[in-house]
Amino acid sequence: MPRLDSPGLFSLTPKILADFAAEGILSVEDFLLAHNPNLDESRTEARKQAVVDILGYIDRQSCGFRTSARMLQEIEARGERYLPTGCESLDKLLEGGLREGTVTELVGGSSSGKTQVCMQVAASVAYRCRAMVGFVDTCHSFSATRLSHMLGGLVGGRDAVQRRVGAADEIGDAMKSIMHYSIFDIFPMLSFLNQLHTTLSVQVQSMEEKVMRLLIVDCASSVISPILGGIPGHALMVSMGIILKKLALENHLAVLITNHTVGGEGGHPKPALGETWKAMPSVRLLLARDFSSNLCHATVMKHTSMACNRHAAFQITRTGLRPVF
Amino acid sequence: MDVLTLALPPSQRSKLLAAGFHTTAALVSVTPFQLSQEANITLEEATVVLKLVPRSDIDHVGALSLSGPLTGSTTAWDLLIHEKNRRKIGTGSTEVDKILGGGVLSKELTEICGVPGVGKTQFSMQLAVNVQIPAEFGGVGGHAIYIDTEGSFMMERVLQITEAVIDDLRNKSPASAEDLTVEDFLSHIYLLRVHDPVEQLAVVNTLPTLLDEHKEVRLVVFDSVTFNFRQDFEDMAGRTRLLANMAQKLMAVAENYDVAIVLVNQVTHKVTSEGSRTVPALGESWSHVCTNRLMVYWMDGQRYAHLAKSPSLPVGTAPYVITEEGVRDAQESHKRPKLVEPHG
Repeated sequence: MPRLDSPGLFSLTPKILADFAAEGILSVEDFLLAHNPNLDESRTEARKQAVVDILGYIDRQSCGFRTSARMLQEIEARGERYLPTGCESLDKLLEGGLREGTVTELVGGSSSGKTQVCMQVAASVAYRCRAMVGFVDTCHSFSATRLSHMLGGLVGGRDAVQRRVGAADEIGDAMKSIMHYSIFDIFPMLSFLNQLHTTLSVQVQSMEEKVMRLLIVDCASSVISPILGGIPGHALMVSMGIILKKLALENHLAVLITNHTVGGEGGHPKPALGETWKAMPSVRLLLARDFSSNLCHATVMKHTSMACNRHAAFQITRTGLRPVF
Repeated sequence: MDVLTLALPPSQRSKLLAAGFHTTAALVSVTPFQLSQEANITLEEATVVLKLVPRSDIDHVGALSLSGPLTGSTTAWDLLIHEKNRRKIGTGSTEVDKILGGGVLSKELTEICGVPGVGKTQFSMQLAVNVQIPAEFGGVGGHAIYIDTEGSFMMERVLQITEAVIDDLRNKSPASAEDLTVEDFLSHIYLLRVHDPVEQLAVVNTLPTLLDEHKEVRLVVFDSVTFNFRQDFEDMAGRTRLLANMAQKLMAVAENYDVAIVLVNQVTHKVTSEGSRTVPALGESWSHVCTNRLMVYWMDGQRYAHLAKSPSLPVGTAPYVITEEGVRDAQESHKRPKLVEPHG
């Protein structure tokens, strides 16, 4: 909640503000907690006007309600889409891919294929949707060489690059629209996400320029786990969750984050970051890799609009993720 | 943006909140003097606080272009060009180099884990020597920082390895290897002996300063990262947090100073319903830290290196041997006696 002086209300003269401060009312929040309509009867006209103005200011903050029909229209008008993951079996599992406006989380143990899925999605969205992709790398796992191989696979393999004129340019073009950020700490991360939110909110969209439609944070848990344990750490984790959700909802991004696993009861791995974080992503996919057959399995653990516990399989090959049905 | 999310000491943060400053937007139009008065902090502190307010809050115009305020971004295209020119440190065995994509890479954390005696320290010492192979021989030509926590760094052994490397280089090109001396090689390995977890964390915190002073350093070895963290820890969650913190700092160092970081890890037994198996120590969370994970193990009397985790390379296995000269290819050792015999 803002401080009382920040909305710039004319009736809040320095004298009135000082009166409020003397009562311990510094912010709009304090005002709401302390406000008692009966007490205002005996006050001066200026004070009454100030109270009316503050209440008016609070009313204006309300965004009003929308009906589902209206929201559906908005979604259609915007053309909200599913972004292809670049792996048909995963697209089928998610009924089209990553949905714009939602946060999708990949959970899995070490080397279960989380980063591979992230890079494949980045390649697929940059190439097929011709969109900008933000890739926030917190654990040094992004490899441009690997990404170029995956793009090669999407374009049609090594032969296509040699045979088809322009194929190499298409790869280069897609590579140039993937923005990579190295962030290793929670505070720079929060400040980055907030800035991205502001930037995307004020950005004027032009037809020529590519729009950012996908944000990947690989891996979200590695900046959070060092600060967990204690109230400040918990608050920071929730802040990060809120800003990720905001980016998805208000900037219509598909947000893809990864989370690692920790040993749970009976030695069975469970997603890190605990119960609070569980509410954060709208979709949660569990990845597991079977080393004997080199197959990766993705399982829907949580989904806001689909049944859970369905599976999909894929293999990690040189040119990207190969679906296995 | 919430004031909670600014990197401030808790005392200042609570003073700001008590004075009603809940969002950074509220801080935009305040002068340092006003802030120090209202929030009851010193003028210096107020100046620091105001510097933390994001620019996009202050001036919306500055936020218009994506590249403007979001500094620190690189396109994948630029990274690709950079990755192609990246320096690699050979392990001494071409087979092991092959599964690692040419060797240990700068800007990455590479973990080597295995049972005692399989050659983890040998790998570490070999890398500390190999990082100094000059650029004209396809090497990196840098210095090494060796952080020894177990007391396993053996000077005599490093001398042996160094002599073998220099001999090798002289055989390749006697003219250009003329100036290489054992003394030079040995004086460019900076050894730090660490005795307890606090010292280890302190070393990690001071690494940036150390690297500022020694700009030639291209490799930092932790042998082992595990030892100090395996005993006397009652609060296991606390240990995980300390390790995660250390890992994030090491990643930042690797990125900012363009060094390769090698972390030696021990193994432990994990008992499951199917029986027990050896797994890398330090638990699940730690296994997410390293960029590459190289498992070294014995099988049928032969040493093997297995790349278990890498974001860019497929899983692979290569045999290797440890000879008097250091880490070498397995085949080479079989061949060597045959080559020597005709002369003898």
